[in-house]
Amino acid sequence: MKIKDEKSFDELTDKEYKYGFVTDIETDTLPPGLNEGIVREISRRKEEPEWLTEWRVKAYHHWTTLTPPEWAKVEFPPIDYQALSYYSAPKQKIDAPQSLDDIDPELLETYKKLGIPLGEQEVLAGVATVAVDAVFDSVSVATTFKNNLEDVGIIFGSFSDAVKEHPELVKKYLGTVVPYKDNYYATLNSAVFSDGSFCYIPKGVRCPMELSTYFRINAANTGQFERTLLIADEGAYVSYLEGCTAPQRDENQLHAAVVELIAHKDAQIKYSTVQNWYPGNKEGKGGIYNFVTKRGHCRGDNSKISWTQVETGSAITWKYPSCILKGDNSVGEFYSVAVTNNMQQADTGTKMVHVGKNTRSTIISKGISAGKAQNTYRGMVKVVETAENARNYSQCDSMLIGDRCGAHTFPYIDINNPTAQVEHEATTTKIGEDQIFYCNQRGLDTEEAISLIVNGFCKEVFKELPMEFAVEAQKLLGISLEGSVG
Amino acid sequence: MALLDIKNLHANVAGNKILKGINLTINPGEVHAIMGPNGSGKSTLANVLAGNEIYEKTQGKIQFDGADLDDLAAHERARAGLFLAFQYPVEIAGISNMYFLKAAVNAVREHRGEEQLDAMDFLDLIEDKKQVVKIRDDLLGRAVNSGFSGGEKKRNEIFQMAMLEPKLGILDETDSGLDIDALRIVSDGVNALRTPDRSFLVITHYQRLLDYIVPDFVHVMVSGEIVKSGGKELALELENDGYASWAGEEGV
Amino acid sequence: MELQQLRETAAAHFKADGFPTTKDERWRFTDVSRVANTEFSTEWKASNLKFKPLGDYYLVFENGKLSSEKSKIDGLPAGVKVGSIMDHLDPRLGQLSDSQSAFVAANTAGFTDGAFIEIADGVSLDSPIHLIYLADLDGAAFHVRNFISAGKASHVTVIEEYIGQPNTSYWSNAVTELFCADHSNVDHYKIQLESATAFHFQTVEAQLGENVLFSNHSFTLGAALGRNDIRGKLLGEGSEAICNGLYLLKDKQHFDTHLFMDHAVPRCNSHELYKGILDEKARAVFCGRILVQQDAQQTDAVQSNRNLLLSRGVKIHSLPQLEIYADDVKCTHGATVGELDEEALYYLQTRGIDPKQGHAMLTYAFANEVLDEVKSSAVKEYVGRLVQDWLE
Repeated sequence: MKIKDEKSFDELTDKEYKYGFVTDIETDTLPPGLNEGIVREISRRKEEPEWLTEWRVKAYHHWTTLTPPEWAKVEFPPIDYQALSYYSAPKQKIDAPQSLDDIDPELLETYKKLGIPLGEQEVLAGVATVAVDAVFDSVSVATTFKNNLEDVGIIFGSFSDAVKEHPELVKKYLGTVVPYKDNYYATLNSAVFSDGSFCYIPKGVRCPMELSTYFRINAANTGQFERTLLIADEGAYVSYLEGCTAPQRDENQLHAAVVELIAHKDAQIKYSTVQNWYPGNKEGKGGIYNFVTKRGHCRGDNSKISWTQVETGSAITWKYPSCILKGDNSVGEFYSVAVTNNMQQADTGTKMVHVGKNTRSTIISKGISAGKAQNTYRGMVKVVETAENARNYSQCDSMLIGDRCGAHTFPYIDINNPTAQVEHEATTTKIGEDQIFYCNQRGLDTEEAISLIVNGFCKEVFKELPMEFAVEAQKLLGISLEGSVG
Repeated sequence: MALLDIKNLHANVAGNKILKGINLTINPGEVHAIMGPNGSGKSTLANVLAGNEIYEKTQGKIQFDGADLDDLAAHERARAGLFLAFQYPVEIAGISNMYFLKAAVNAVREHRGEEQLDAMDFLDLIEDKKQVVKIRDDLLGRAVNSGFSGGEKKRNEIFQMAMLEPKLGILDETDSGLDIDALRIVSDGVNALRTPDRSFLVITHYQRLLDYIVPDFVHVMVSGEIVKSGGKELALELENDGYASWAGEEGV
Repeated sequence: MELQQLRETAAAHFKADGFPTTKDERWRFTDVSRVANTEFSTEWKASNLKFKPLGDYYLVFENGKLSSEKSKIDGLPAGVKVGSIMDHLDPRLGQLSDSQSAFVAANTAGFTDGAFIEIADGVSLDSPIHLIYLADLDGAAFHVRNFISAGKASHVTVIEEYIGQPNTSYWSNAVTELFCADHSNVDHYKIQLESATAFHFQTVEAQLGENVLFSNHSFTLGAALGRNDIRGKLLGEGSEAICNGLYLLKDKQHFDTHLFMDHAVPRCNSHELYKGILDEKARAVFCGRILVQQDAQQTDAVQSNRNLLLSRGVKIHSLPQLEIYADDVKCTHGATVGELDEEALYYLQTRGIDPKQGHAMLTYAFANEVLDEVKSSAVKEYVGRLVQDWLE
């Protein structure tokens, strides 16, 4: 029998947002504002090829014709895009870090606080089994294990490096899943993205370790616009982790990332996110606006893309990791836990578009709402005419803690083929007083009891996470729901 | 020193007076039975002792192992060694029995200043204790009380008691809903847990249970008061005469 | 409000906003430009269509106008008023929460007739009141307005039936307002058999007091393009609303059902079961929204939408929605789309039933779950036969 480590309960008493520190570091930041010149300047600083510069400029011009989407169940004052700075890079001693010695010790210290294994000495000690690409504000600062991965032909590193070293791959795949015209935030990202991660797993390669990107927003008044592009070629397999933190600041910060996944024939991608951006304080001041476009394309037959997300942070979350199931027999999965407390708002879910024959999708969504928070599941299952024998199962459960919060479920089921079988179920529950008393009687205090019950509620999602992430997720859940009862 | 000392306990439920001056002393190692008709306040007493906030203590003093229970929240009472086997064990979907118990055992151990059990030690403890009520492995893996039969739930309660090793075990109508075989298994479990230091408060409507769990003292509770106390022979008297003769002026 | 004023306000709304477009979220899947682009005539004629009363009392509307000769309301018990809405204008008329919907506005501005039913406190009517709307006038528009008021502890069953002449094109645009006072028991049925070339739109809105038992059953077989908006407002504690429906669509029929159940107070139940069978090129939209307001603790709401697709070319959009602001509630919704169960078909075959017959049996069984819930035996029998005819 497998027993999970529940050390997390001890950490419940850790009341503060513990990632709220600010790193004092010299940065190279562009002045606030957005125009074609800024877009070109970002591209110039990154020494990008002309096609990419023009792609960004096209996106920028398209963006100027768009208005922010209003359909989501979230409320916030309009964002002044001219007041944001679109590029902030830590100043480095030399142009490109050749080894960890070249990286600013302050930065390394930051990642140490965050518990990210960056030092290669840890590799030798056999501690770390995760290859990490860390993105600090807008640029990628270090990638561990790069050499080990290169041995099996895996390309893993910053997006900027990929543009320089593998322009043909970037050009071939960029924007093929999320086109630059896709939506307001994705279009903005296409114009101004500064860095991100790039990963290519060649044919038949099973990535020997978990790959991980760690995002950190540090500088004030900057937007963070990373772009992740992950390609699993025929028969490849990769498990990819993404973590996010940000300092505690009174202003809202914008995070508008784009993630594109491509799975070729027989390939599998497992993409896990633990999002713990600063949620703002109890009164709703500050916090990250997390407006992210994530989409996977099951391009080849028998391919599979699985999204797992644990969303506990951010003032506002707006994201719908999706799968386009084009290849026959391809599989899309979405497992999500979204926790909102205090004044947080989340409008999140997924889209499963069935195009190929015998395509299957599963959606398991668990929303937990406490305080005055609003938690919305919004998901679409679409079966187009060509998708013979498509199958979908969706389960959306909401848990309410306290009577000032809201839980909403808005599925869209759109079926154009009679052979489809689609099932959607949703329930709403609360934590019962009798359950808490029963746990109290067995020696657990009320917060432990809630944490236990909530973890039980989310179990189906947590079991999809890699082990170390699952533990992290459980801890986060406890911290996020601090003080939500009594 | 007495393990449990209740003085002049009054308690209300939803504004109704249920307990009207209970006095009861339980010394280490003693088994006390409380018998009484439905609605006499037996379960209220159990819940007041365990700290269920639905039940409001309005008067009196309860000392447990030297501490005033008023100062302790429900989980602190549990950690201090007061265990309630529920009349209606609560179902908690999504959490396995094992996981739940490990959290509880480690919470109690921490309180006692003992080391936390890791997975292996915990499994050893389970192996050791599961004999007590012959609990099946598959029940351990299932969600707490979810989909358990009535008998399985009660067995699970005694199993939890074995795991948590309390100083006082309160059995709230543990016999209700049990057939004779299940009753025997549960009673054997309780008897196996009897030690010179561990005390029990057995609440029941029927004498039957007391054939298996033989008490040192029997108290008769009617309309929120203990109207008679005596030895184990009192239970037999009740069996023959019913509660009516103690019902006093209020009548039952 | 005076009727004239009500009409003017509604006309102004309609003029300002016009018909909805698919850019409007609530009309995303239903394009009404065919209605908007049609010129409707203002002529009138009596109807030649036949009908069969399902109760002792009935009102017959011929192409939107009440026919006293064809109707029968004699023998009504004391305390029951039934007649033309033009003769009984209730001050509560037009209190619909959705008065700004273009179709409701058009109806309010232009309704020419409709049924008025008022049941006094404590009165119980054993036989259903059958409202029959006959349509066989090409190019016409019928704006019928019904007003039903059930007094305290009263009991009434009302059946609305819309019958159209095949191959006639017209626009039927009805609105029914129901006021259910405390402890009343109101069963409301709608059987829609419009011409397969007609447009049919109706908004039904019910306001429920305390401890009301309300049911609404909608059976949809007709119209080329149509929509039901069914809105329940639970304003008193302890009430129960049941909204069930069955839509059977084929050819290029497009039918949209929008349900809205508004729980404003504690301890109410609402149950919704909607089933659809789609064949040929039919298209169905189902949007069921349950709103549980902050004070509506101990709400128990269950909604389910199940669809059976019989052929290639059909389309279904199902949007079950929960919007919950109270914590002590039990709310679930579910939606399924699929074909007949192959295993069940096979099982029937092994028992000697040929696939065609087995198919019909299972399809009928699918629809029958909605009929099972029907209390009125007259409706059950009548609709049961309609379903069987449709399947053949």
